[in-house]
Parts: sequence; C-alpha cells; structure tokens
Amino acid sequence: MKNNGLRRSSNASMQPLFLLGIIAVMIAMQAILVPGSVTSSQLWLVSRQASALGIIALGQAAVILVGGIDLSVGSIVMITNVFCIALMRGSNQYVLGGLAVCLLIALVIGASNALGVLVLNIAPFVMTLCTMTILQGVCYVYTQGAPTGSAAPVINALGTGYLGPIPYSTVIWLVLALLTWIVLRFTTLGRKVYAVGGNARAARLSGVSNKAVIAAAYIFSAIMSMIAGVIMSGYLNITSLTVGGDYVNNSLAAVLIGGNAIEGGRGGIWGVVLGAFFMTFLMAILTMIGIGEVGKLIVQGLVIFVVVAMQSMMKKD
Amino acid sequence: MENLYLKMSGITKQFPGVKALDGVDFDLKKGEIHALVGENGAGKSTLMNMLGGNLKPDSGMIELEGKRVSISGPMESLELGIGFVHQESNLLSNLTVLENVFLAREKRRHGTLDRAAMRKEILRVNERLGYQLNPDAQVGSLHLAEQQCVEITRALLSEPRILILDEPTAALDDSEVARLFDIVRRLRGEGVAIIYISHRLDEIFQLADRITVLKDGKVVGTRATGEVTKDEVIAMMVGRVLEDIYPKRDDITFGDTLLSVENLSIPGRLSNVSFSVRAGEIVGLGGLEGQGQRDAARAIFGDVPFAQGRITANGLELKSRGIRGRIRRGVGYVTHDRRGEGLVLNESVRKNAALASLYRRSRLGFVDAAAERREADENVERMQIKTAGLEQKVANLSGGNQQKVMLARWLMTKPRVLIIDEPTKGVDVGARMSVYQIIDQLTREGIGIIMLTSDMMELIGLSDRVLVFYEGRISRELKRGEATEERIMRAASSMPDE
Repeated sequence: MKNNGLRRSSNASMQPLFLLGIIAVMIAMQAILVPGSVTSSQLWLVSRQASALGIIALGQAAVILVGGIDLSVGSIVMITNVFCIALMRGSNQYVLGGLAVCLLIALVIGASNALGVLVLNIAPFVMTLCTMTILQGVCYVYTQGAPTGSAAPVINALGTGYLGPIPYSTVIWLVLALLTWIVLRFTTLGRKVYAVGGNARAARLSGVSNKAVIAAAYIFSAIMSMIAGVIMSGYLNITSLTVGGDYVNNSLAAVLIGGNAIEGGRGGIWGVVLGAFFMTFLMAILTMIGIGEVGKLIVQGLVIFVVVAMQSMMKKD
Repeated sequence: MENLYLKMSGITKQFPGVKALDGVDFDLKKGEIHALVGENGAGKSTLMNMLGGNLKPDSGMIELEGKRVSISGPMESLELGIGFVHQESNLLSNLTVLENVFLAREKRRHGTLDRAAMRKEILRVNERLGYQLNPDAQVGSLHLAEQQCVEITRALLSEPRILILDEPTAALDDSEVARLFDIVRRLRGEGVAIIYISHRLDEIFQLADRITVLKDGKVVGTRATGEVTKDEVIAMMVGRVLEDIYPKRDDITFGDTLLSVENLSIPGRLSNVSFSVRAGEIVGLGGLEGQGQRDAARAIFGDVPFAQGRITANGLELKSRGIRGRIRRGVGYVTHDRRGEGLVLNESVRKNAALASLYRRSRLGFVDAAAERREADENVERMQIKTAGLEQKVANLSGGNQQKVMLARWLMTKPRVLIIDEPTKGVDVGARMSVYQIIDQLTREGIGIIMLTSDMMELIGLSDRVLVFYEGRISRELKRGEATEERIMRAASSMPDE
C-alpha cells in the first residue's frame, strides 16, 4: 500500500523474478510429492517439451507488443509439420529444399496477416482467425486426412538430440529468445516496437513507419511458428493433424503470465520464456502425480488464474 | 469556531517522483465560498480528490464538524455530505438527465425503477436553484451549461453540506457564468459550504469569501477576499511578480527563407494558402478554432495529404516524402495533443525524447546508447525539465515538463523549422514562461518557428508575424506591432478594420 509508486515503477523488471520464484516453489512441491524425481535431466526434458511453445510465444509476444494478436500460430505449426514431412520424405537430401519451402510459406502467411490488418484494416483477431481456419483446411485437403511419411534424420535429431546435457531444441529456443531480446532492447527497431504499441499516433508523428514495424512483427511471429513446427516435426517424426492444437491459447497464456500487457507496448522477453516453461512444467507435474487429462485442464486453469491474479494484485497495490 | 465545517490538517501525499501535497491545512466554514487557486499541478485536484474519496492522504487528518473521518470511496464521501462537481464532465451522453442524475443511486419501488419519484426530485432541485431541466432530455443534446446543471443536480441530491466545484466555468459563456454564480450564491445562502476551484481570478474576486493559494503542494496563504488584490494573488501563485511574460524580440534579425508554402489546398479545408518562414522568425497562425491552421500545419509536416500546392524546405520540394522525409529535411512538429499523440506515456523521459531522432544515432540498426543518454541529458538540462532522472516515466511529470520533453524530442532532430501547435496548452504559468524563453532562444540560433495557438495574448506576444486564418484561407497578415486583439478578431471573423 504505502510504497506503491516505487513498486509500480520497478514492476516490469520484477516480473521474471516473480515467475522464477513460482517455478522454484513448483520444483519444491514436485520434490515433496514425488520424492527423488527432481533431477537436472528431468528439468532439461521439460525445457525440450517447452521449446516449441516457447519459440511460438516469442513471436506472439512481438505481435502483442505492437498492439496485435496472432491466432494463426498453431495452424502454422501444423502446416509446417505437414510440408516438412511430406517434402523431406525421410531423407536428408531434401532437408534444405523442405526448409526453404516452409520458410516461404511462413513468409507468405505472415505477410498476408500483415496485409489484412494494415491494408484492409481487418481487426487482428479476425484476420488471424481467418488465416488459422484456412490453413487448417489446407492441411486436411493436402493430406486428405491421412498423412504419411517421416521426418528427415537431421530434423529428427534436431527434435530429439542433445548438446551435452541440453536438448538441441532448448538451445534453439534460448538462442532465439536472446536474439529477440537483443533486438527489442538495443536496436532502433525495438524502440519502434514499443513506441507503436504504446502510442501509435505518437510513433507516426515521430517519423516511425508503423506499418513496417507491425508487418515485421507478424512476419516474425510466422517464422517463429514455422521453426517450432520444424522442431515438432523432428520430435514427432510424423505428421500429426492435432499438433497445432493448444498453441494459440498456450502462447497467449505464456505471454500474459510473462507479465506483458495485452494492449501492447509493455513487457519483455524473459518473462515470456519463463511463462512458457511454467506452462509446460505445470503439465509435467500434473502428469507425474497421475492426474487425468480432464483434471489437468481444471488444475491448469486454476493455477494460471492464481498466478495472474497475484501479478495483478502486485501491480495494483 | 463553532461554524467550522471542515478542517483538513497536515495533509501529505506522495506520488512517484512528486510530492503532490506537503502538510496542507485547509478549512471551510458554514455558508462560505472558499476559493482554491494555484497553477496546474499545484495540488488542488489532489486535495479535493481526498474529500471526494478518490485518493487517501499518506498522512494528515480530515475532520468534519469536529469529528475525524476517513473517506474511503466516492459513495462514502456522498454519505458524509460532500458533493463534487468535477472539472471534466462525468456524464453519459447517451442517457437522459434523470438517468444520469440518479446513476448508481436509482430510486426503486418493488424492485423496479421509480421514475416518478426521481422526476419529482429533479423538479424540486430545479425549482430550488431556478433552472429548468427536462428530466427526459438526452444529456448529449444539452448545452454545456445545462450539462453543468445536471452535474450540480446530481451533486445536490444527497443534500450535501459541502459542495466542491472544480473549474465549473471553463466551458461557459458570460451569461451562463452569471447564472451559475446565482445558483452558487443561493446555495451559500442556504448554509452550504462551497469550495470553488478556478483559474479565473475575476470570478473568484466576485464570488469568494476567502481565497487559499496552493503552490507546489504547499499552502502559500489563506486570505479574505477583501484583504488582497489580484496582483497579490498572482504573485502568491507564481512566487514572483508577473511582469512581462513574453520575451522581448525587437532586436531580432531574420535570415534566409527556410520553408515556403505556395498555394496549398485541401478540398473543403484549405484553399490557396501561401506563406514562408525565415530563419529566426516566429510566424503565428491564429484565428478561431478549425479555420484550417491545423490542416496547414499537418500538410506541411506530411501527416495529411494535400491536393495542390508546393512546400519547399531548404530549397527542396517536399512532395511525397512523408513525415520521415520532413524530419530528415529539418522540419519538426510539436502536437497540441501531448498525451493523445505526443508522448508514449509509459515510457521514460529518455526514450520519449529520443523517439524522433533514432535514425541519427543508429549504428547498423543499434541504438548508440551513450550518445542518446548524452543528448537527452543535455536537452533535459537545457529545458530545465524537473524529473527524477532520464529513466523517469513521462506519465509522472507535470504538463509543463511533459511539454518540455516534447520540445527536447524535436531539438534532438536538429530541426531548421519547428511547427509548434499550442505551445503552452495545459502548461502552468511558471513553465509557460520558460517555454517562451526556449522558443525565443531557438529563433536566436536560427530556427524558424511556425506557431499555432488559440491563446490570443500568446499569439500577439510571441509572433513576429501573425497570419489569421478564416475558412481555410489566410484572411490577414499582421506584423509585430500591427497585431492587436481587435484586428485579429476582426480578421478571424472576416470583418474589415474600422
């Protein structure tokens, strides 16, 4: 109550620390509930499971920072998965070609989202919802509902292999997070992202070309989802038409749990990284203590509610 | 004193970076009008919001009729008999008078709204105060003066013993003000104690029994109206005697033409506007609101497209280069709507100041942080911006300091021509003078200024040349010395000189 001014001004930087604290508590709880289960290799395993979500959340965070929202992330993972498997046909020789096609698809999708939002003035929610639906349709039509094939060995290694104790996918995730952080923190583009999200008119009157910044965010988000799609393809080694399922909700949850403002202009990257880890870790613990699928959803929803409520109380008082 | 209704003592309130109130004592007697004056940011609204239940003091005591109270919310404030008419209208324009007056306090009978009783109540207040409000009129269709009456009615519903009026005349014309005064005096006669906040000293001297002056969160003094003069009150507010607040510019010599506009036209808004600005010159664009001044400024800056015309800066035509092209050619624009389209409020002073000149310090796309900090620091220093530091959020600064951050932003672009739209809107008297000094100094460094203002004294006091706009055209050009209030008003309404 008393020092609320001070608290408020330092709140943004407190957010990742708060999440780290929550995760520490969760580790302690796991150790109590399932004695002997907490090991570093288990935590790395959780990080591998979190990596796809974590990478998608980086893109989602960028779009939300500029004041938009991207509902097409899950369907980009799915379409990447479909083409990755179909084009590579289980052979390393088609990897580069396959990746190039996936990247091209991501660029086209990101650019279409940007075009719809910026040129046709369609609300981001609606535009990316349309994109999502169309992409899902494309996947079903292309695979005729029964996909076949497997990932190239290189991609498979990417999804399942380790660099020392650390999974490759975790390394990729953290490197991408670091790069995103550097761009947001140290470049003029990063400055413009925050300005556009914080006050679009002010940014425009300061010579920022808002449209270029917003377009960059949508394209970045599509590319992140594509990378996540490639990693998931390697991990699953097959095409799964349900792979994109939860990524829209969970990436939004990761960004918001990370402490970023839904209306844009405020937030950072490390909170989002921890948010994605938190979401995945929570599911892992619930699985470990033997809670069924349905029960998991209820507990997951409740825990997210409690964390977000605590954050918002921290902000207010 | 048996008549002391309200006594506030030692009220202190700290906001991030600012001590908004510092040991303020204030009291109010039955049946008096007590005026509260001070510059913007002096703490008047903060103090009143404590009575209204919107803010709590960090320390200090509020006593009502000798009993210590703690006011925790607007409803509690009402129950204690405090009515508050806010500066900005809190009415919902799509609802009726009745619905607004009784909002959240609807009278009910058997669980449904008792419109008849509510209507009767409104008519009773109407009669008491001598005005006629139609309870069923939609508030959006009423004049501002009538809307004010709706607010007062709303405040009077719970028969308050204290009524707070915050800048009640800001939007009223003379006859409406006279009627409001009538109402206020009538209420005083009934024993209501009134706190009256206004910038208009004339009104205060007509109306108030006592005057309390706040400055920088402290009480400078409380005086009976008969015992002070206006000049003394102003001196108390500003902390010095107000002489000439405009810089002397007779000695200025102008240089080359920096920017010229020829036959600028926007269908329906601007037709054939031509003028130019020289180095060191302040060109004031005046006239009534919405006569095309702002359209011209925004077309020059590349924010709105124009159908015809030529704009040349430093000998180069600015056609389709957009805002970014203007900035790189040394043209800047300080908006009139600082909060709406000027500042990124949740960002720091440094980031706001740097926003328009990022490209100048970009190294392969990276911000040269050291250069940015140095330049921002120099400008904060030069503008004498009162801030806890470069990393302070601009939202926490006062209006005057926010305006200086805007000026700092544009100085960091190294402009040749600066368009300043309403340089001192929402800026208090002290900061206003320093804004004028900064503008004067800039012209002495060879910058040309285009100034838009709706403040007549500012227009006359600062401009070397006044261009009066009327219906999208320049109806008159007046040099310093020729520009008088009367001439400008005549040109602004397209009347010839006497």
